[in-house]
Amino acid sequence: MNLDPNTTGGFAVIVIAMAIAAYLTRIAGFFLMRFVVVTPRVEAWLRALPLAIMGSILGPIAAHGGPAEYAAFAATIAVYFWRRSDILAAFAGMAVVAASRAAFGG
Amino acid sequence: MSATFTAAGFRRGFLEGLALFPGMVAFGVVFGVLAGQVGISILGAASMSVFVYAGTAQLLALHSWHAPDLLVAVVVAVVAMNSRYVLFGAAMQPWMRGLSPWIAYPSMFLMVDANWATAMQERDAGRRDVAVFAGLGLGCMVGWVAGTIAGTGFGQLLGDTRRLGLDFFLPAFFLSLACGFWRGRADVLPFVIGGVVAIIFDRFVGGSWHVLAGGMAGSLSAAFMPRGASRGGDGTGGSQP
Repeated sequence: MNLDPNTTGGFAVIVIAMAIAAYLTRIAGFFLMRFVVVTPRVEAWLRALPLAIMGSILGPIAAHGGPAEYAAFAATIAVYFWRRSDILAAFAGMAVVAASRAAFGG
Repeated sequence: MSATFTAAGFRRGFLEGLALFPGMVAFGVVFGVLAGQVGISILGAASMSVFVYAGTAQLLALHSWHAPDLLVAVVVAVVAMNSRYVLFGAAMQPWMRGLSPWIAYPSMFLMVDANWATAMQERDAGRRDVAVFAGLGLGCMVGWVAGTIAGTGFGQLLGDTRRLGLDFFLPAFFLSLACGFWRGRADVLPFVIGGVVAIIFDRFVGGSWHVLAGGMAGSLSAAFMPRGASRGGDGTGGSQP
């Protein structure tokens, strides 16, 4: 099926399809968990989920990264534990990566 | 004790979301700039940011903007990038138990990384006001949409966004969220296994399935640890009062 995203109708169809898909991913796990009994093992699984997901997002980024990204990761961790602010830490990481890229290229 | 939804909690969450404004704007600008480059109008980009409300998925969708089977490509992009939200939602359900579906399902529309992380921290602290989560989701949307509009409108003035490190905002934000979740040695296993499995999937499978695969592998490794060694049993921030 060919859609022209440059027409209003074509673009609307694309946004609606994306919106439905995005909402379904948000409610799928929520809906299915209604039928799961929360045993200690399930609870341990759910408790470990946040860090497992953070690890799986960061793993490939670290694998593709170079010195600029590693320096920025270190700065992010340092600023986080210094000020306890995730947004400030993210900006510190962004600033370090921009500075290192300017200094060393890449 | 069942979950609650209070006006005070919604206000607190919304203000916390507004506090994330600079980061959300920065991320919105990244999307807006790239959306403008493929020819999307300001109104189009803004409506996508409101109704889809998934930055990483929208960025991936832009990558396939000139694909012949565009409709399939954008839906695959959304499902792959948002697959982590399936796991997020699974973790949310016990916390939201007892809430009316008429409140719970609309609230889930507002789920993004930041307010989900906050919800999990509220859960670990023994608090169950879901309005904090929903308010934060709405507060984050303000900056995200404002950034989208600014990026689409004025993006061409910025130049190379990679040079400014804008592409690194999201990874750095995830890393600081992970620091916030860190409790001790028991957290090493799910984090490292998640990372290693994701690297393998990223290299040999492609797409964005690495998030789902790594998230499942890492979290299940914790579930099958001997009891007492896992986080639930170490006495730090347990769910029981």
